[in-house]
Amino acid sequence: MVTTRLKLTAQLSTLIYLLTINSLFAQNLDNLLSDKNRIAFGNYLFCEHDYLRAIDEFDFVLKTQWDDSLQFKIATSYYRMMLFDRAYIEFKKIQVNSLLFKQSQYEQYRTLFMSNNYVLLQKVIDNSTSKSEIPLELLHLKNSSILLRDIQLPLKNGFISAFGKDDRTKISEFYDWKYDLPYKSPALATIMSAIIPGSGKIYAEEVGDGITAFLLTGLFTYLAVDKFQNNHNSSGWLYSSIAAFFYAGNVYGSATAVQNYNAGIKFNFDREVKIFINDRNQFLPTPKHLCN
Amino acid sequence: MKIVVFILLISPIFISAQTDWYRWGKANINYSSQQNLANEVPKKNVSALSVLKDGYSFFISDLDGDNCPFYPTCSSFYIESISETNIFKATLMFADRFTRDSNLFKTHEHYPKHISGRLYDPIGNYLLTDSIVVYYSREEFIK
Repeated sequence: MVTTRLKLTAQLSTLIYLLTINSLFAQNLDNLLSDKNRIAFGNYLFCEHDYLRAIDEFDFVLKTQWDDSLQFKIATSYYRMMLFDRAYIEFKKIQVNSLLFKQSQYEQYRTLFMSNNYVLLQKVIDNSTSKSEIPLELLHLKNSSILLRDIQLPLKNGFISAFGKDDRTKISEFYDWKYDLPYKSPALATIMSAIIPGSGKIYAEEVGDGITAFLLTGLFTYLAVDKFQNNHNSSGWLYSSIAAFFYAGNVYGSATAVQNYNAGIKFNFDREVKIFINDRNQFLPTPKHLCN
Repeated sequence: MKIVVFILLISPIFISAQTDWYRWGKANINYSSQQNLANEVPKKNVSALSVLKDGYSFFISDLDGDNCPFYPTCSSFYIESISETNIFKATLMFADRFTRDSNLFKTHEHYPKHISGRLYDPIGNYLLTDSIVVYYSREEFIK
């Protein structure tokens, strides 16, 4: 009887012991959330393009220890999410003594280019190097960003000679295109529409709108004249008002149509230049070994 | 009695081991729309015209159907133009918009597409201020 009870107690004790050990070690968060694990998980998320969660993991580690490669990945995450302003700030946090400093500078230039901040880009490039010793890749980026600004172009020969032979032809084409962008004159469109309703719209390549404006203005003018000739003055004034409404709107609209046309010309030019520059990775070396 | 003691002994271990329950806590999510509705425009000192516009929407537009192909719609465009400029300039802008809306040839490929399915035609591009004219890609939907 005593033996059986001892045996039962021993079995029960063993069971409690095993359950206790199992339960305690099953959820050992100290190890699970260690910096090493967080970095590994963050790297996994980063390579899976889950950038927001990767930033969370890296940020947590950076609270306890500085790691420039993690900071670089945080900045790259923001860049890849196209949050360029934040990416620029994060890249700037990498210090001069870091091995990643040079690459982080390149990424700052790239970020400024992608955020269309060409003024600051040129200023930063000029400040970071002496003008006579600008590295070739930066000179390429600086010159090509000049094409995207509304400023006077420098002399052609000096401008395109900075580029390699492969790119020179294309840059020369862009230079000529930029030099003489086929803008149209809003003033001319206004005068044209004032003389012949709708002609300013046709000048702005809005042919359908131009013909519609001509027909509406013409129809109501004809009706007004007809009513006045038949001494129906009240109807005459009504149709005159409607004709004046369409006439004035068309004269005004011709100017805005040309402004929109010109914006389209600029947009298409900028798009072509950006495609060219982005095809060449902004002329800058790309970061390596981010995802092995 | 033994079973009760056993459960009492075991339970605290399970409870204390699971320390990451906060992760599964209730999240405070706001499901209310943060964007304006399709025809909603900011109203600034145009109460009399807003009454006219609301009257037009209630008595004519709602009965006639949602025919305007643009975003913002012509009536909203007019109200917004008045709030941005003055009644004279806004009337010119509206006359131009009305002509474009009446386009007999329906050549609407000149306009970007809004996410609502309409053609995006913002007021800013018709204020005669060159610097604020924005050209939108025709391949993308504008939000």
